[in-house]
Amino acid sequence: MYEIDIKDVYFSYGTQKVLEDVNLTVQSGESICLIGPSGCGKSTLLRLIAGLSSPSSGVLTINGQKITGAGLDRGVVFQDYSLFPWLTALQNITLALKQAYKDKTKSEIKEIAANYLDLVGLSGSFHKLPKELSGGMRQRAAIAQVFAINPPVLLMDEPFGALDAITRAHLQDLLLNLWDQAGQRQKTILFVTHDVDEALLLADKIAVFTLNPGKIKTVVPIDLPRPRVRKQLHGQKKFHELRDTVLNLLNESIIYELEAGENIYPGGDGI
Amino acid sequence: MRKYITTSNVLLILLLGLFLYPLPSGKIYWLLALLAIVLKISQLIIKSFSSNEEKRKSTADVLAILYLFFGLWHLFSARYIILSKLLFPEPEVVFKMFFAELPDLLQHLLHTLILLTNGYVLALAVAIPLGLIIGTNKRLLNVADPYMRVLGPIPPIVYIPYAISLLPTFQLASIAVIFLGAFWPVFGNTIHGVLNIPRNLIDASKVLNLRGTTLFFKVILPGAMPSICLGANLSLLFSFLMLVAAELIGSSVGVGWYIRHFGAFGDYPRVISGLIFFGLIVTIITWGTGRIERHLLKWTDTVK
Repeated sequence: MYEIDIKDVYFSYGTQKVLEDVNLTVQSGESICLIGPSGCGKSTLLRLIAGLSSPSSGVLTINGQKITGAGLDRGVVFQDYSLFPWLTALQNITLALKQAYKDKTKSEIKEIAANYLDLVGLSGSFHKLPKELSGGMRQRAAIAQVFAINPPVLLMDEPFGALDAITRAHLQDLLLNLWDQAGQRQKTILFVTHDVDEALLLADKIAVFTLNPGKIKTVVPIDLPRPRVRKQLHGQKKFHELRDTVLNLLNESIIYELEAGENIYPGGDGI
Repeated sequence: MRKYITTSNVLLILLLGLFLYPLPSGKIYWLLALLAIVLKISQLIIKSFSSNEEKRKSTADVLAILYLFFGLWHLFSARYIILSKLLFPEPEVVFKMFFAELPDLLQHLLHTLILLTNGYVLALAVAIPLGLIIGTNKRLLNVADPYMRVLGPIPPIVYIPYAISLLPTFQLASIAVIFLGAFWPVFGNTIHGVLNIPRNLIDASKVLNLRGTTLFFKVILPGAMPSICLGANLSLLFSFLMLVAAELIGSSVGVGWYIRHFGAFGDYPRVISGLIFFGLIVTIITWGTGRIERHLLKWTDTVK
């Protein structure tokens, strides 16, 4: 099982403080959404957990082991869906699968890859290069890649941002299925989003960030019953209360920023 | 009907008229007229292969300029002789010479190609792997950088005397000169290519735990490929430039040597024949490398 512990983490980029005093524990099998204004360091935090950057100070651990680099135990869906542009959609996924399953044969790997491309609705695009795919299709291919590897920890940076509402809902369900296979929580998920409804659907807890420097303001437990079904969710009083709570928290920090007369940092998003 | 009245077609008709209208002596330029028609036919063949309207137009424009050039050349060297007979031999003389010399030129070409492929291919075979290794290793890069700055800009021609005394045969010395000319552009660009692989792709390969040969062949090499191709093209250009210098080293063969040799005797029909031949060969080679490049870079946004 995979438990992530983030202790007293600071991160700065030159003189610009990005993260300050971040503390968060993600229990094994838990799904946590990170939400907050652009540039608040959510993506940076995912990079730190992925092992792609090191904190300026503080410690990040997985099962008590300090994170020192990237690994296949943590699957990452980047915001800029980094497929290798010289490989087709299928080749991108088989390359990843060969890394994850050293003992599987070529045809088994191809079968898994094709299976996941079908699941994200890319059946007709196996042999297309990323430049021949639309932004949303590339994002789905990147998601298929990470889902196919089936890592115990999923780090996702606005993975469904570029998708239309139907595909988005479809992939959210797919993620929930993967996470909650046979009622067993198979995965630990950290998920960055701007969409409060999406966070309420997916998360056990929502960590709301403030800006300048990025800090976790509050962690809101989302004690809605599971399985959560979109249609029923909107009928629940609890859902709307939680939604208001999170939106208020988000607005507070934005209003605070505006009153302080500071510019909201553009960019800085994307891990 | 209207679509046949193009600049290039009008010029072709004028050109044919010029060639077929007899001189006062009664001479008619059958060979030149035939060549003009061959040019037109090859344009039609190219046209049938290309679906791109813009490309067709540009081929026609290129041909139009060629017709104009031949027309003026013929006009002022054969009909109204304003140009010096010695420096500007008339087109018919040049083309007759070209066809007569073709077997000889092909012999020379063989030697030229041996030098060129040895020097150029050797340069690629050394520079690309070395560049990839140095580009991925910070420490090696810091060591290589000052050497590249000092050695890179030295014109390879200055190594010639040393290459001749150092290497056992003249041919090896010639190959070494081409090698040195071709090495630096592709070496520098390979390193540059590795350093410029987008960070998100490097991150992706870290996340996938790609290492060793997989990392090398699936990420580093293709990632650097656009820059490598750029360098390889530059290197090819440098090889052509170095060729003439290389063919002067203790030999009496090669297309470059041929042109220089007959230039020294003032045999301009042969010089121009050699130039045309050299131009054709360079075109064929760069067309071939262009095809290879298009294939290697078909994943980039700019290649259709």
